[in-house]
Amino acid sequence: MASNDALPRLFPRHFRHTTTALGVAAVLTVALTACGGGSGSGGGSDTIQLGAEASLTGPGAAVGGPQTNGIQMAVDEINAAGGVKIGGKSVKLGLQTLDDQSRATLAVQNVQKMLQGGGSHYIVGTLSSSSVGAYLPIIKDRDDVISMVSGAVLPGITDNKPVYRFQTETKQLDDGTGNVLLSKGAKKVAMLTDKSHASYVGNTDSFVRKLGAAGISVATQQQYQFGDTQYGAQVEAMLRTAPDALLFRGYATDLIRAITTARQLGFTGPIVSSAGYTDQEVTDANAAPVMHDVTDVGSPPVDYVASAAGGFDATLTANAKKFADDYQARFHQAPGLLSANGYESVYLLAGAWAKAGSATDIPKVRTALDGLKPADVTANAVLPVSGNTVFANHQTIFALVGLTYGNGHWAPSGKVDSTLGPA
Amino acid sequence: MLQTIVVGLVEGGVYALSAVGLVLIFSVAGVANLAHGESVVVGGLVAYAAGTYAHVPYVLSIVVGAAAATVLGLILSLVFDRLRDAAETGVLMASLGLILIIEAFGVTVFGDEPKSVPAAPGHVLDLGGVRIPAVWAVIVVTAFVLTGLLRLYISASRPGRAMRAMAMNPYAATLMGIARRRYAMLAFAIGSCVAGIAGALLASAFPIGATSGEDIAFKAFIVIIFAGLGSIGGALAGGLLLGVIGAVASSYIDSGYANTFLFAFLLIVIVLRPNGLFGVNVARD
Repeated sequence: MASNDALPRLFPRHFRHTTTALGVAAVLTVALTACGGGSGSGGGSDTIQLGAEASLTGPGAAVGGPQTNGIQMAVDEINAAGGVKIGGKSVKLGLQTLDDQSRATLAVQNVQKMLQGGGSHYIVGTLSSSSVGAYLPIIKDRDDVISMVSGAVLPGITDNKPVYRFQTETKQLDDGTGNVLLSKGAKKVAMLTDKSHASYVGNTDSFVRKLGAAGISVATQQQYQFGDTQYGAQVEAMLRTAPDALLFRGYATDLIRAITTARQLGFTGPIVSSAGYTDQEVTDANAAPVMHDVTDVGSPPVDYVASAAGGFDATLTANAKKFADDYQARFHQAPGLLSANGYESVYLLAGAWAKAGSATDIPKVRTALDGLKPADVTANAVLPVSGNTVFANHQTIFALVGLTYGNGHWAPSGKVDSTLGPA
Repeated sequence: MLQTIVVGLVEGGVYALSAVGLVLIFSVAGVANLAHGESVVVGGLVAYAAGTYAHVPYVLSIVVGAAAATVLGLILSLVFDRLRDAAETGVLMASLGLILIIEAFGVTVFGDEPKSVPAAPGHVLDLGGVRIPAVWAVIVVTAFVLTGLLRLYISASRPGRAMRAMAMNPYAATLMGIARRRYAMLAFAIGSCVAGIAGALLASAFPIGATSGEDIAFKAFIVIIFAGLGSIGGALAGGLLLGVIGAVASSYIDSGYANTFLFAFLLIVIVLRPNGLFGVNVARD
């Protein structure tokens, strides 16, 4: 009965030791990881220290890296210009960038590290909803912290006094995708959601009800795990319901795989998402042939604002063009999905400090942020906001656009209403 | 249901190709190589680079990817050889450290965006309504062919017999004049080569990124525990079975618990058959 390929098992002899060792190794790895990963640029008593909570590695790096580049650019520009004028005195900025490796647990450690020993009281960046959701309990009751989020779209975070968000929130994005589905004539859709994307998951029930009220039924809701490489089972389950359209909710790097699978399995209809794909991501994944009839909803990309086609205010258009050109020159690539958000969020803080006459009196800075008008930051604004103030209840409202892919580029195909049915 | 099974076989084919190499390394070299998933990733990313930047033909890009993974395997074997007298905890720490180092290197060189090998076969077979992209079929067929060749090599060749002897009793094998270090390196090279082919094929069907290795290694370890350690054929069967079970459960029950289903099935198998699904007969061979 000998099986020739049989290799005697060694595991039983080692298994218990191995299991113990694995546990020890895991604990040590987490501990070691928590000790490293920081990089800074400046600091000191005469500087305002910013802490960038950044996703520079891991699945979120494709978006988090360019977001952090934008933050770094703004800090360097402000310092090169002599600093921020606060009460007649020029104050320079320091930036401590801590990588969370796209993991919420590390984001918590990063924020704790930033706040330790009189460190930074201004948190910028934050890519993922899981991250901000994880560190929120640390800061939500503190009067001495402001987190200027320029990535995470988790609903509800701006209900907390320290949190301001210069990024579209999930509810707007979901509603926008619903309006695109309506425009496509879809009556029955199949939905795929990243189950670790806290903001999408949290908004799902409400969104499904809204879609229903708008005449769109959700035939099936499938889930996947952030970073999964294969989506065949979920997509096959979605296609079994014969949907008019597919609705994908998650990060671009994952959804490109899901779109590829859907097309491989024969789905030719519309696919709608709010993932913020970049041209490079589509190119790297050789996914251009499968991107037909994919509409991605988001705030206007900076290159669209920079172009005449955008039809925005001349100053804003010029600023956006300068930003895009400078970014390209410095990083040898086009700005990413959140580069401009990261960049302008630093200028918003600078505007608030100047207006408040202080960077240390945080309640006063919050009051300044609450009343900050677009005109207060016109000189450095690169993204269009609506409303009389930049923040309404700590949240910026952007106009949404639908983007479609063609000739190697994502380009806006039209404005999209960010409200679906009754609120 | 047939379409779901096809999807499961493809997922299982990738698991199997990863697990087959891992089982060889584990049995012969005695190393629980947690960094095995990195060989899969290196195979995929180097195949991508060869196809994209050097414009080599598709099949050659697979070969280049496999070669790169083989080189990585040899480097890993040297590292683990230096650690052969270290405590298991140290070896596992080194293994985890290697994952972080290789990932960081991969991100630096290739970036974090998932990559896909260009010029892969793009046509789709339609068999009575069941759609099978050609590249998916290639993955499953390759899993069978490579496993068969590896079984043949292990059973019929002199180096294969030496590796079996090492797996049975490394101490006795050394006393019998078998060059332990050389055959451990050979196991790493072959196991990593198979992983590299798996990675290149995976990246032909679904884009993979520099940080995809952990999940792949995780699945490969599930397969070899579930199937029963020590059997190359068992790794193939276990991988395919696990892929199909995962796909059917995800597609028909709840995709939000895909990994939960895999672990539940693993637990049931271990409780009922502690040596793994294919482990008993193998153990008595």
